[in-house]
Amino acid sequence: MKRNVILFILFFVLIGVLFCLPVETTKSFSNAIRDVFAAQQVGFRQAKEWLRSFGRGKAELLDENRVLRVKIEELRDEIRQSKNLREENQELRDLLKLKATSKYTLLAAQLLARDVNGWWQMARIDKGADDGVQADLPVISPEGLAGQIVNVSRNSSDILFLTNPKVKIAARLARSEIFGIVRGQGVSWEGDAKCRMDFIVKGADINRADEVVTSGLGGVYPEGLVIGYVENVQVDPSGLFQYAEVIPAADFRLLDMVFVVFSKKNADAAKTMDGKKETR
Amino acid sequence: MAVMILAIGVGMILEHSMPSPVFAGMARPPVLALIVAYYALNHSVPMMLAVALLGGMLSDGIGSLPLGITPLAFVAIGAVLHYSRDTIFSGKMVTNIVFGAVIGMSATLIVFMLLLFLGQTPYTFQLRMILFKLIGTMIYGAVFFPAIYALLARLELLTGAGLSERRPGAITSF
Repeated sequence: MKRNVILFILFFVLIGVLFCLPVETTKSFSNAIRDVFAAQQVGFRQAKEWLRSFGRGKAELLDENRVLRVKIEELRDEIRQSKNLREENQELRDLLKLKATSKYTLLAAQLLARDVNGWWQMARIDKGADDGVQADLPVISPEGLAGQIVNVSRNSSDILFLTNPKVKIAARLARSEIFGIVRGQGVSWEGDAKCRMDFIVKGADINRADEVVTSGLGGVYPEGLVIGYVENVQVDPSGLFQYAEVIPAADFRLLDMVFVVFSKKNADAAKTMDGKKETR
Repeated sequence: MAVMILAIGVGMILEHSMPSPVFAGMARPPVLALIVAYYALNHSVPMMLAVALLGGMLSDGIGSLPLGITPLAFVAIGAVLHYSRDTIFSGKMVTNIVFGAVIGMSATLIVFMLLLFLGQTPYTFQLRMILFKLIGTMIYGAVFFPAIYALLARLELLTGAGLSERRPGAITSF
């Protein structure tokens, strides 16, 4: 009995020490565990895709193939048009001698796991510090903004989805200079993600289906990333502002591939990491 | 010890590979908590503490929770079970189901309280989602504990592992 009491005391002392350790130390331990299990999660994902391929008939695959071919042609056409516009834009800038606006680069990543702990709406991707990923980088899906990188280990990273109430994004309406702050509202009964855009000036012209994009203020999210669309507008209980319920553009239930957004200076860091990886 | 490490490893992979549906408050089956409960009911305190520490640390690491939260929750559950097992645990199927439900819900509740205590605000602060999570883990516990209990007991008997640590009269089947 005495031995058991001593063991319990030692256990609680150890836990107390863990709580008091610096965040960097505990993060190293967490990252090491995550990297070990990232391989298992990759394996599970591949097994899932392999099993899924059995369930799909030939006709379904041919249909999907046809749809994707059409989509590729549409995208090729868009690329051609964008290239022409870019060239024209550069010519005009050269004429006016304007400094080029900052650009960002994208790093594709696949989802390894969702809701890694069940408390914060998060997901894990297969890119980490070795790929140049850093904390606080924005993450987008093909449809729109998905969230922000929060934890980074060598081979994987965690994304905090924008539907999490901890996430706050400086935003504006795409068609006007109406600004606000978007923050997550969790999920509804049906699993639909929701956000809310607060501190909209009262009397501002804002309509249903207006596109909400990042404003670039705050320095975390580049300007112009699509957040979602206005569902409805109401007056804040204080009576001083309006708020709008926003449906995120990204479909978090179907999210499979995302892109980590690097600003120009972070992109250089990512390229350096790529170079180091290739020479290994 | 080998069975314990295997159980924790497989348990963690299983727990983090399961889906986390909205109707269960984004919760997953509390497989590791149930494994800790098994060891608390059938083994000595050092063994139970080792399982709680190892399983809890791995769970916190992979789940990006502050280190130490899950081991604390596990040891709280383990201690209560260990010191009351002779009085209230019979090993029958119904008992296992009820125990599993209580263990699942308790693990979630304790982790939630600890997160609040540490100032971490879970996004599921909506009362509805917390209730869903508690009910979800309760149901998961009720469903999974009988199977985990039977599996581990059978494994230990087959391998002979940990028999010296088992308490006399430990129940091995329903």
